[in-house]
Amino acid sequence: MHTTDLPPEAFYPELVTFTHHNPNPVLLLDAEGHVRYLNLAARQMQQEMGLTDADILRVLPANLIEVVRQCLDCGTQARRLESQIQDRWFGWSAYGVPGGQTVYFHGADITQYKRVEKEQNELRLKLVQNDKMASIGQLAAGIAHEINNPLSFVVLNLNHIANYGRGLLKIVEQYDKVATLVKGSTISKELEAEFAGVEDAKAQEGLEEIQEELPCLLQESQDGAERIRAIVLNLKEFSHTGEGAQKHADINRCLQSTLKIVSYELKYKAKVIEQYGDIPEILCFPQELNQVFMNLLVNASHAIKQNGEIRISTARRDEHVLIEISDSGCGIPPENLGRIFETFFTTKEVGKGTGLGLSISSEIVKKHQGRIEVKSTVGIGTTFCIWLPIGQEGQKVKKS
Amino acid sequence: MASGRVLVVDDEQNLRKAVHRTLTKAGYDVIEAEDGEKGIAAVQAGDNPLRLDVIICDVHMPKVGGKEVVTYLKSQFPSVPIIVLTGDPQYKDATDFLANGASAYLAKPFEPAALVKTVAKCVESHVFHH
Repeated sequence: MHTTDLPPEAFYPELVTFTHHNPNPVLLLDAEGHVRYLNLAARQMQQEMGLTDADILRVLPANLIEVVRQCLDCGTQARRLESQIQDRWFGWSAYGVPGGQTVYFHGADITQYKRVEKEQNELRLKLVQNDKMASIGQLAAGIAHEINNPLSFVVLNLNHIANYGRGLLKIVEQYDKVATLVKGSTISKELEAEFAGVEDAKAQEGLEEIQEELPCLLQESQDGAERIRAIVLNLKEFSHTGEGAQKHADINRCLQSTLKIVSYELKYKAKVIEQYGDIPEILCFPQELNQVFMNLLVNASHAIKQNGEIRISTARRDEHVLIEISDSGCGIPPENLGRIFETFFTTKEVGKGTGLGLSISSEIVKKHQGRIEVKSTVGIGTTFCIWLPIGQEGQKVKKS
Repeated sequence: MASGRVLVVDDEQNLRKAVHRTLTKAGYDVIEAEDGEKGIAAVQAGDNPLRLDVIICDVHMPKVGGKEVVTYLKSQFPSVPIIVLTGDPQYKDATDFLANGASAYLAKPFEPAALVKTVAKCVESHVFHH
């Protein structure tokens, strides 16, 4: 007669063997959190990782005392508790009985799973990123077209208005000369009244002001139109649609065009000092590097409360182009410095930072076989250094 | 003073007017049209239906866009130089248009001097070919 209804106690010796020879590590802890038993797999793991008996607890979840207490109060806590040690990840379940003396921890090596999960996260991030760049590109192209159309006739018309304005002022001047001559001679009462009317109109409309300001107003409007043109061009340069290809680019120009995009963010916070060195063009993904520069510049501005300084410099260092972006902002405390490139790590308030900027930047720099470094002192400021290899092609394509 | 007959095809009336004014001042006879077909009708309805020296044509219009307009105008006026106007200064597009029969291009926004100079060059080459 076979039955599956027998209680597990009926198989006590087998359960002991099952525990002892289980390929997964099993640890038994007492109520004080001392290790009382390790199965074979746990012993082997201890040896492999070079852990002493005192150290073995480090493989367990950090809050293990709490878990032990909960198990002894309420019974089994079969949930996935994670721990990380020496690049290995474990998922733990804890088993105990209420009022009992000991708690079993059963672990599984989930390093591989964690690696896949991390890769998937990175991949997802890249997809989001690509998607974002593509939509920025489309938006930029759309904006460029929509703005450039009306801007075209504004530019053409301003030119005509400037010419007409100059013409009108010249005519008025000539009339004035004639009027002065005529007024000097004997004139009729009617003519005198007409002249008085002209003087009234001049005073009322403020002729002197018009003469003085019209050229300035036109010049300023033309400068404004020119600036709009430059902004649109920069916006387009910043994110060329469908031009996600590698090409030779002048990093100094990339920095300049990115700076123009974010200057609205920076100019109320900081003085920007630009020191561009003589560097060769490099083979790169310019739009992606622009994004790195933008992230760093926006971060720099966020770090500054007011009246700060942001310094951008480039230089050639042997086979690398070195780009430095420093700010006189609040700095990064040492405990955070090692984490800033982590995905989703942010100290900015909710809604202000996503924790993606620097992790994406670091990915992009890595993609270019470069490296990104950070130096920071709290209260003094932060400097990011980006090293990009020049490569063989780049050496030939010198900046003219 | 320069002379010649220019057809301006653009869906944006204000831009047509601005181009018209600029070229009229430079001495050209200008015909405006909001699309290619109306442009051809306008040229044929004019005083001198045979004469056309330059076509200026926007390549981002709602009905027929880009290359089709250039191809169409080229089929109607094979020997007349076409200047394309583009609001999207992608050099690749511009060179595509040049390869497709356009003689020159202007990226919006352009200065009046650049417009006049480009038109003059095209008219000159057209007259020379005649």
